[in-house]
Amino acid sequence: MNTLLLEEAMITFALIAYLIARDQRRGVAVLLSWLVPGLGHMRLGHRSRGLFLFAIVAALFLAGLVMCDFRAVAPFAAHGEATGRHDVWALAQFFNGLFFAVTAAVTHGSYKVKDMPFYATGCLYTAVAGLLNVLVMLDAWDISAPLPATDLAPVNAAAPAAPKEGASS
Amino acid sequence: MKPAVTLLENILLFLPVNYAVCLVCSTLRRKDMQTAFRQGTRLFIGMTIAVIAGCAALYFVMEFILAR
Repeated sequence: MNTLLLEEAMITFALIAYLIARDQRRGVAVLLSWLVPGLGHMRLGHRSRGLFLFAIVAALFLAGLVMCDFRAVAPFAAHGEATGRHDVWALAQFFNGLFFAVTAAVTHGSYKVKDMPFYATGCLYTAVAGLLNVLVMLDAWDISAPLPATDLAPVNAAAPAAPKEGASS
Repeated sequence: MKPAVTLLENILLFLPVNYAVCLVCSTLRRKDMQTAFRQGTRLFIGMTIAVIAGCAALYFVMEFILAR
């Protein structure tokens, strides 16, 4: 049983719950970004940014799966069953959220077979996609931050009158 | 014994990961997506050259040390 993954999941969900309690709008954006990369950004109104980030992370994850013949995600495989792979990959793949969960459920029981030259590279692609999604989650929290007070112009300040052209001094 | 993955294949497989990382990192804290894309591409080209040059230099240094 991959106990490290379960501990990581508990810590991640506890952190996200804390963020939601602190600021619901921003915390929900972080949760949505974990579930689907870029969804938090789209929820906040940054549609092109969300689509761009989704395309990159999803393409990397899918490329990794294809290289491994869809055998890269096996978070609860015992060492004896999945020869030549290490459970640590799942710690990074976990941050792909829904992609990780659906792939793990659908491909449960199918593990690495012999003569897969790109297996390690495929696992690396899926793990890097997960770690990039951590940056996406942090970005979702960051871009939704309210502006500091010093950046806001005073609401009732009268604009200075522009000098007239050709006015004599 | 023939290696499972050749050096050229390794380099080619490294490039998409590098590009994805550069694009995501250049998007952070940038509002304009076009600028982020351009900066990310520039960062990818620079990093690829730096990594390949660095690894080649390390290879020759190690070869020199081992030959002595």
